[in-house]
Amino acid sequence: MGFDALIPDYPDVTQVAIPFFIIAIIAELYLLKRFRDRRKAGFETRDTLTSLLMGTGNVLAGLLFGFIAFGVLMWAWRFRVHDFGFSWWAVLLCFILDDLRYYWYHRIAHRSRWVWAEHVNHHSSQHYNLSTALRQSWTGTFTGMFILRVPLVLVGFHPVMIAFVGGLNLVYQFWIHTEAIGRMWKPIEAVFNTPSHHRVHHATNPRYLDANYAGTLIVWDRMFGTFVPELDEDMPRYGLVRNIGTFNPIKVAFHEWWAMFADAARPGLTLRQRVGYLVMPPGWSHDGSRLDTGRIKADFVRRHPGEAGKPGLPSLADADATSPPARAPGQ
Amino acid sequence: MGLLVLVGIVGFGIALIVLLVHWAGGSRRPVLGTPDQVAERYRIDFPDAEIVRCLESADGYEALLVLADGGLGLVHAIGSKSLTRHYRRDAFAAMIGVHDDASLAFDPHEMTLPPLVIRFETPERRAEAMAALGLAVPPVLEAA
Repeated sequence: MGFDALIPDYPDVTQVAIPFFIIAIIAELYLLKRFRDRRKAGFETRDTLTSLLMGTGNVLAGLLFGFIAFGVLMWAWRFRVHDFGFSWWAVLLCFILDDLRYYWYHRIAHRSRWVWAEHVNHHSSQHYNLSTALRQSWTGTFTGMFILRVPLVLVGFHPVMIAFVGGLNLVYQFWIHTEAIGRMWKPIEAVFNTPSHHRVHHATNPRYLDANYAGTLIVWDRMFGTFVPELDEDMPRYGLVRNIGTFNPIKVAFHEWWAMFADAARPGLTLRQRVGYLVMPPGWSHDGSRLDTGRIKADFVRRHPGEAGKPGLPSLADADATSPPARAPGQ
Repeated sequence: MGLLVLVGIVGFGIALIVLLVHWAGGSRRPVLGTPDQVAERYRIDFPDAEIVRCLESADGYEALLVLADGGLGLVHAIGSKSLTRHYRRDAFAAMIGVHDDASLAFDPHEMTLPPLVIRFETPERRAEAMAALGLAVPPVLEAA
């Protein structure tokens, strides 16, 4: 019996889930229409189409380029120090560790423009519904972030299993992209990523920026200090700090790559400044003329001193140390 | 799942969802609203902005703002939402031109914000807007 016969034939869970995605989006549309709340972002036709096309492109990109990441992981498999096999508990352990890997990938995606360039499209909708969950990247492979999975391979989880649990994680994250579900039972909210937690993640309100990076388990945010709860008095506003004005999927997929390389290629910069435009947080600029999230939060605290030190916001002292009052980001 | 089956499900699913969203009113494009509502929207993104004057287009989808800091603001309806931009006056002047007697052509030179035509009720309103923006009569730009 060859070794291949020992590897379970895991399904591609994201493909298997597609009919469920379609039914769930239609159900959510019905619910939001039936119980219309004007404060909620709802659905918009072109926005929905763009999100669905982005999801389709993501599947195509996976079919075309998935072999690159898988090939690297299979190569790393030769150097494993252990083999956990394919038992149910190995799958469970792999899922949990891969969820931790996802937390750090996601945190880096928001804190380094190189990865933000591929992730930004997921946040580019001003709506927040189940179709937004499918607004996925086409260029993830090219950031090289799949190397974060290498440690899992080296400790003994087979790449096929890692791909399987990664798919499960993405499918889990589908249902949390909704305003149709409020807050859930407290023990669930304490342990798992929920619609409430993830609404915070997609919001542009200053207190909510750079928060709640979790995939499935919100405990990672609680452990690493990035958890911010959703507040009724500060309803999430979705999208980007600087929203885009197009529904063209090509532009949605590539606009930040274009802007990033254009910034790095500007004349008169030092090498360090050029690299800064590639790897520093979104909003970073060599002359401090742009707003990053730290300055947005600091400015908010200066205007609302009573909010200083609350979850997601710096203390007044930290805000004053962060930056001088911001200049308006003009062109 | 076979590739043909996958393509069929995805194609059918996208068409069905988009049609249902459209029938549910998802293609409505609301206007920006009153000058106060425009100012409120702008201040979400630029909380310190002091708005001196709000010049709304005839169709209600665009508004140009004269700001106390000497800059100019844009609020643009996109789908059922809107976006904002802040411009230095000299940069703005390089982006705007005449579209026709009662309209301005605005090209923000952004990959994700296509050129806009800002229509006013009358040529006089357009001239008034240009004066309020502190801009000379611009060169004719190609229609957006």
